[in-house]
Amino acid sequence: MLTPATERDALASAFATVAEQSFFAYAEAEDPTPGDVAACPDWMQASVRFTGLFAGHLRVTVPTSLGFELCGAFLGTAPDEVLADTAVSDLLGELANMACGTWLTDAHSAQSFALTHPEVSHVAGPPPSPLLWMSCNGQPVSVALEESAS
Amino acid sequence: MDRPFTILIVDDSAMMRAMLKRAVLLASDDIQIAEAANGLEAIGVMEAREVDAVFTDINMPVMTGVEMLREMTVRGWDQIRRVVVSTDGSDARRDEVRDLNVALYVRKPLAPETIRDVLVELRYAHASH
Repeated sequence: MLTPATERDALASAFATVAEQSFFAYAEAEDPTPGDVAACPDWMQASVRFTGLFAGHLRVTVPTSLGFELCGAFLGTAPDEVLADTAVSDLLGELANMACGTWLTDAHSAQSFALTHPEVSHVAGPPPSPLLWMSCNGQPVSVALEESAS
Repeated sequence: MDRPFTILIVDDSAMMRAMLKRAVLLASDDIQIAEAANGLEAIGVMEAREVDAVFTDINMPVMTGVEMLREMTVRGWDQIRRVVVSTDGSDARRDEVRDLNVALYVRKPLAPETIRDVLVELRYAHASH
């Protein structure tokens, strides 16, 4: 059985590792102020479903501007280079996929989990009361974890 | 003239394929790269051209990396060196692919130095045969 609250620290560590190693970004667990969230008009959400010892969804929601920033860092593009929305969606899916895989491997290494292809969409904002808030390059990132039937 | 060492990169993320391709070519610019978005596409590429090594993700739509590695074993393509590049580094997954002739298992996220080390090992093994 998945108990999201007990996974909080492991998820924060997994997200920070992926942000640093693949996206050259600094991330740490930090609650945003209401103003930080309100200042971001557009958001994107990447969702990955996992099944194994337990099953659920990991949803990572980021300001769209951060999505573009992380994508540029991953690809090593020039700051003025225009990135396609499809490229940013692909990369945010990979970010969620890597964060999920890193968390499950580090916290439950004896078990094997299957991860679905990530789904990425534009959303109105982060979900209410996520498990975890991260600050990534100074911008708020919501990390939500929900258990579901296997 | 010798054919260039050819690596097939198999990943459903086009951006991840682009990053791996860039890392490989930065480490060694005399390598030829082929790409596939899933295991089934990769089997088609390996049927159509000579490939020396395959870098494959595990979780992919249509045909997973594990299913592709099994198919390669069934077809007797043991001369193609197999490298798994996956977020899933669990003991159970490593055990699952152990019997599928996997030379190296690399966890994502990965640093460019890791790719360089993998290439050194692959090319050393290739030259020894």
